Amino acid sequence: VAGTLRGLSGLARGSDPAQEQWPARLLAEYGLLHLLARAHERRDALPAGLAAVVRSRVGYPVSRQDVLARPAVTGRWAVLAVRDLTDGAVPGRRVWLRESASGHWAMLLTFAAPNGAWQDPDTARLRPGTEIRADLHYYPGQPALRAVLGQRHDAGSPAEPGSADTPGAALRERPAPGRPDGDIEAMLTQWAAALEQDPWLTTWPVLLSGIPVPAGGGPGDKKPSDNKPSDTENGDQEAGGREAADAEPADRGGDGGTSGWQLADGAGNGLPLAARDSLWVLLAVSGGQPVTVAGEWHPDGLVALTTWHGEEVVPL
Amino acid sequence: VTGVSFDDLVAVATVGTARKGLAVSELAGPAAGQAAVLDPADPAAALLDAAALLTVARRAGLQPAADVPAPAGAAAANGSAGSAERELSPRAVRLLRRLGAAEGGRGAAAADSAILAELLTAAGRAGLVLPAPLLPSLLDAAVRDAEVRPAVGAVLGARGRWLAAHRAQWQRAVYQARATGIAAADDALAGPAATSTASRAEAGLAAWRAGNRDERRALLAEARRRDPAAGRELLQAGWKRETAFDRAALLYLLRHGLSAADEDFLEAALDDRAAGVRDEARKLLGWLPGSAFRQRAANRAAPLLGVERRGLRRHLTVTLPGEPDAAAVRDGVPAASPLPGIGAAAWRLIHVLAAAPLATWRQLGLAPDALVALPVTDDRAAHVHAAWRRAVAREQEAASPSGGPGDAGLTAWALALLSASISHPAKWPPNVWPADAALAAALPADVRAGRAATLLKAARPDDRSTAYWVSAEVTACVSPWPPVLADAVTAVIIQAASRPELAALPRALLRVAGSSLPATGPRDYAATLTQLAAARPQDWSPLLQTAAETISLRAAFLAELRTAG
Repeated sequence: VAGTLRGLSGLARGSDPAQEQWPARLLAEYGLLHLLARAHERRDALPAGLAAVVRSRVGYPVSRQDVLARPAVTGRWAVLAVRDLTDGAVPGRRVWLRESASGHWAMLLTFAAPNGAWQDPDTARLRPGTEIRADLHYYPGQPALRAVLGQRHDAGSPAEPGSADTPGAALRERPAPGRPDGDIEAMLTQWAAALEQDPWLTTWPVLLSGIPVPAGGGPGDKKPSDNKPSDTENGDQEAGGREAADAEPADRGGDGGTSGWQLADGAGNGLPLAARDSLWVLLAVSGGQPVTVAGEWHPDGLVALTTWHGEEVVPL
Repeated sequence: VTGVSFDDLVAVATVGTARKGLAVSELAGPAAGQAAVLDPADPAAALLDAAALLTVARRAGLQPAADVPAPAGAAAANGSAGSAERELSPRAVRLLRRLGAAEGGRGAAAADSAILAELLTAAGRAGLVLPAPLLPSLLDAAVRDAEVRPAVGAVLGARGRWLAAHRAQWQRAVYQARATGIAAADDALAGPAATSTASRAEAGLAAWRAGNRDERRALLAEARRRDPAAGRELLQAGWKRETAFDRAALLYLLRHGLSAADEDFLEAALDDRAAGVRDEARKLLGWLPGSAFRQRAANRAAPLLGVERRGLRRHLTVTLPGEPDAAAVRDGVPAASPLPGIGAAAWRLIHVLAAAPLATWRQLGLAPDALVALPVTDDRAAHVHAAWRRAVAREQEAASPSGGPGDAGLTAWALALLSASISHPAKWPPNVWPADAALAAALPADVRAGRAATLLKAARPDDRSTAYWVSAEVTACVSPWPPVLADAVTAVIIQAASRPELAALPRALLRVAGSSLPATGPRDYAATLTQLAAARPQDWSPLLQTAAETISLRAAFLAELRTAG
């Protein structure tokens, strides 16, 4: 809650032209906060799952031990994306895992300890393109997403092939990204279903196949366009309001800007891509052909975090 | 009938529910069925709840954008079926990344530009292209750094050229890479260009008329590269409408593909209203072999120098030029001197002698080394040598506008002037007295390296000022160094290894040793440096190890190219 409010105070001050609609954004966020406050008043009357969501959104602490005491979900978890959260008061790292057989998602989150190390170094060490066999324990709440890493079953195999110089070592753990969950339509249906379970949800994992399309379409034909959806990005509960800052690099539009890009799927549908410099890498890897993209869906657009160049994983 | 929309709510919220009532019995869109939960007794709460309902409904009901067009030219990005391009191996990419990390940066593009230029040029020769994920960072490096531009241009492949077309600054860098002519890998370019020459030309013409200054300059440079005559005609067609600034800036670009066909246009530009344009035209005409401008300059200079025997010795006799006539002024002969220490006549002498092609002095019957060794009458030696130095600098630029060695005659002149011991007033600026480095730039790479090696052998390592310019000359030599220079550098470092204090010269050399000592060839310099660090450990030994490691990584990369090929 506090993080969201911090993000809101920046909204009205922002001089960015994209934030001209700040009254609308502010109203949306106030509405959701009011909804949360009212739900909190009535939390005893809510179904158990929804009550857990309300408690977690309000910020009731849940101890790691309590989460670890919850049932374990054992599986082969592929690390599909890692996102560093650098704008919050405390730097954090979000790791997106997907179970290879069931396709279930899980999100691990760790923050920097005061001494500069990670509170959970085993989580912070995970790299896209690796796979772990481990028990995960989901936090209470719905849809089940946030989890902690429990028992490992892979004898602590090194999850850092990047530093190895011998080709064999790097090949040891490189699972395929897994099949995308479906096209954009299916992904948005899942997102809607998730919102039904948690109306405050703003971060949703996505594995899609699509073609990145720069604003204005093809080479040499760039028109400054700004077709971002007007819906608001409210920083999620862990790192309020940070998205707005890193989604808007200084060189919006014009030469080198990546605002107004889309990801187009085979059905001709398009999702807005959040502006980031690394979208150029995504474009390079695609070469105008469909590529697999793992990332986070936010009401503002898709933050592309990982893609695959042939067998090789490419963090964005 | 549509109900209350989110925009309605915003309107009410902005002025307050007390000023503007809200009847939220109907909500728009998918939240329509939920209006019953809103509390009509508390308008503020109802407003917020309605906002929450509509917000979540909109998020959940988001529709994808329909009929998004695919990016153009996807086929071009992936090359024609016949030309399968091979990417650098993952191991080669890791080695590049480690070289970048050694420079304190992240990623392959952080590597030293001399190293990038060496390794990517080698990769291009091996027929390899950059893997797609590396393309953006190396295109950025090519934008930043002219030294790596041709090398990056040679390893872009079809995918890289397609990508570069999406970003104006990348496209400019790729144009410039080709304009230097070193990136000979133009074959693949013919493909997409040939398919749509007409439409490209049309688009080009529109951009030429409407583009900004940078875009128009890039377009003209590219047009000159493809077809110099067409490029000149493009410029000529709208010449009278250009501003003086643009005329000078665009004329500058005729250096690409300069030929006798451009002479009439340039000769006319000598009468331009703007001094900047006249200067640019004189510069280009001065480069153009066989131009009437050069002939006029030769005719003007030839009578001013002669060789006379006085007693036992031959002397170079100097005649001062008179007041310039209108034709001389048109060709740029100055009327007055800009420097207080040089009189108008002496300044004119320097200018007229410098403007003449060096070949003019064959008529004196002596080779360059004999000519520069002659004593000069009337204490004019510094003036005459200044003029010859300027001529060498100009001919070198003319031989290769992007920098690079000139022909054999020029080499002889440069060597002769570099070894002449003529002193000049210290306050003469480089445009009057071009520095030794400017003359050395006219030497072929091996001659220049040989000269640098000779300087190193003569240098006292602890003399700071010598260390500065000797190491600058060594650094200016093309990397990787030929054996003669590499051995001379290593000798200086070995000599320094016995001392706990690292003197200025070996310190400066160690900074570039890792990127410039050869990574291949008969001698293993990495091993030499490693052994040196082990045999005589000093406080500064880590510098040796860093250099050795960089050489080893380069060697590993080049070996990887061979196994991949």
